[in-house]
Amino acid sequence: MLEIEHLTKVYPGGKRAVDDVSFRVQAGQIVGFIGHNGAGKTTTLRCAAGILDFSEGVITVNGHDVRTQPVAAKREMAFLPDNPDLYEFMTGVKYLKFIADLYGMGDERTERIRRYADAFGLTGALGSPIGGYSHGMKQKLALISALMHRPKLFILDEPFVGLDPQAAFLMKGFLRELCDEGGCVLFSTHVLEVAEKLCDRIVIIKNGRLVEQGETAQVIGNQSLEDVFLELAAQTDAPGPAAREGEDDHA
Amino acid sequence: MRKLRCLLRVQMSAMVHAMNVSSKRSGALGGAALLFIADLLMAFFFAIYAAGIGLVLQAHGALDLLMPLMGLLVAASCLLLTAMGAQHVVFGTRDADLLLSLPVGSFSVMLSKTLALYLENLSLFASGMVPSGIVWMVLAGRAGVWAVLALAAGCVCAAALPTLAGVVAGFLMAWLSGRVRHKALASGALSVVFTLAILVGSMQINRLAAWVLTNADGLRRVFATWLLPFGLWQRAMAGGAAALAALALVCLAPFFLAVWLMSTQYKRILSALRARLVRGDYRLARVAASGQFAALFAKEAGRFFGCSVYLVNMGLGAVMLAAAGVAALAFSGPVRIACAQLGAAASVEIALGAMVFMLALSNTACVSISLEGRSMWIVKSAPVSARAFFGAKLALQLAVCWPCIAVAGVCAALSGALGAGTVALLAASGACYTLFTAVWGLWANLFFPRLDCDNETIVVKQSAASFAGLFGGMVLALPFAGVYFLVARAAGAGAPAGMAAVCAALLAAAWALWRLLLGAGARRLAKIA
Repeated sequence: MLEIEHLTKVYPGGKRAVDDVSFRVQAGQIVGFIGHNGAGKTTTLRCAAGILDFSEGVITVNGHDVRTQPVAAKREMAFLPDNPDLYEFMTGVKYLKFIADLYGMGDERTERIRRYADAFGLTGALGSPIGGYSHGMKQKLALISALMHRPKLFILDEPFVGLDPQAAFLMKGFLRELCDEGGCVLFSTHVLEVAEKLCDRIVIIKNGRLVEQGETAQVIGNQSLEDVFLELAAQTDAPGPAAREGEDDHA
Repeated sequence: MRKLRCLLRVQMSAMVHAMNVSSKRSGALGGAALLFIADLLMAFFFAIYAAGIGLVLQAHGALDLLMPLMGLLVAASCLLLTAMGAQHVVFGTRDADLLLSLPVGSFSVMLSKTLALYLENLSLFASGMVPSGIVWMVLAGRAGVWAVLALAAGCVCAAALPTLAGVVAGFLMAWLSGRVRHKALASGALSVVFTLAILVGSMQINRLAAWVLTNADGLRRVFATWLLPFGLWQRAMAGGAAALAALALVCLAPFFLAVWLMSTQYKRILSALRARLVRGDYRLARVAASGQFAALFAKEAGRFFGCSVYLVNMGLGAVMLAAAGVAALAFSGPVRIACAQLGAAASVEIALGAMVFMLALSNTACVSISLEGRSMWIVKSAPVSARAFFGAKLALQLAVCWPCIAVAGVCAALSGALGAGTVALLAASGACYTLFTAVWGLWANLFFPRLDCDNETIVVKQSAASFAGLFGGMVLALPFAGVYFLVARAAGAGAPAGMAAVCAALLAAAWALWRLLLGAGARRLAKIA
């Protein structure tokens, strides 16, 4: 579904935020994207979502090149940033209508909005301006807007930040449901326990380079994900991405 | 004091940051250069205005009224800018959590924000009053060290007045708009009413300048009572040290006193302003579907009508044009006589110039990309083509300007001052010019995007894109004026043919820029994040 090949992003000034990163997310999979602060997670996710231009490499979503066929690629996916800044002058329901219109949704929109808004306990607040929402409410609204058009690929940046435990639990259920219907999920997180329990695959990035990827069970072996992550973080010279990818038959 | 300096530096850098034309050091210099050019332009206009009024006043023995009149004009301009700035910069609540959580007093926070506005006004006062002061010194033959010192000190003191009045007006607008159901609409309506009041007031200054010829003593009395600071400034320039001290007292003391008084209630004011009720009783009904373009356009319109500073700053020119049309109809008799005296060709040229000037002031497109701000990810991650993205922004500008052009055109035609065919061509020229400036505005914003500003005021009032869009639109009108004169005058084809040629040239230029926008512009947009 999502194929990232040799992605490199160099920011003005020469900083290589992402350096030759390659990995895939296949249909039905939830993939956790892990790395320390400033490792290049958000940059990678934003490049994959078509928000950020990149220097080298190819990203395809369901066969559509993000660079050359951005509209077709974006029609297949949804993106949720870590801090969803929404249009504060709109009410919640107007925002959802706006997103539904952008994705060309038909009359099914009302029922889907009702389903997700009821689940997250947000229906009563949908008539109020977003400017008055709390961070968690904005997060839920953005989540509803992403889920309602049933994306084949759902990219989330730190989705658990700001959500209450009940909403986080619900979200995990909806993510799994999306995958069961043939979609896939790529999300970054610092909550390693969640990644360990929820993800089918784990991708670890360090200083812009991919240092580990594979099935969750294969990556962590008989340790915990936290141990693996700390071990990799402690290594001063990360192995080249090519070497690691060679070890992994899924890459 | 050190804390206040730090806070002031933060406020100033937030305002100056928006002027930077790129993230590099040269970008900051470019921004400073843009500001300098804008100040020079303003100084140029004020110098011409002051010289014109000064010569008339001198001829009637009332030159002593030049400085007070010009001071009043500059103060009115400052007040217009400051009130909207204060509404968002001083009483905006975005950075309130951070600032009020710091170990600094409310007075320091309030003063730093107010001083940032004051410094902006000071720059405007210097641009307006230094040329006026020089004109006065030359005409009065009073040039000297004292006059120069009094002029500089007067700017420093008098700039506090519109800042104070603007902060109070901004507070009232923010407070009132927070207490009505349709907050954004109320805020926009209040801002429009306030702006119109200031504009009408400014126009009265022209009337006062004419009135002074018959009633100079009455005006002097006004400047000795109600508008005392401006009278004191004149006396200080003429050599009165006591007047200068009094000027400092009447300007600066109320300024600091009001800031202190407001700072004692600052937290309460901010809490009241930010209190927004999130109702929990909404019942979801059928959510109707509309097209993608309609959704994007509705979003642009929602932002325009929901943000008073955007509405007033970028929509006022078009409203002024419609108002001018209505005025032409209301005063059709004198307008018809004036047109007959001027001749058809000259009347058309004056109408064209005035219309272009007013339409150049209405450029919603030039800040529309920056106003996406941190929510840019929504549209960028959605399946929206560059054509739809740019098209919706362009359509907003047309939706704002074209109805006003139509109103002005119908009124002008009904007034009978110009023939219906001529008026139709005039309106068509305006419509084509708006199309051209809309595309130009999008380019300006693509070159100078600012997605990281904390409030809309900074983007609309102080960004490089705003300057480039508005002033660039005026400058770019010159080649088309050249086309008009080539066809209408040099080739002798007449005004209608000249306007038709201008329409064709504007449409061709707009089309070329639009095609370029969909290619190179879309690539540039992809790099903005």
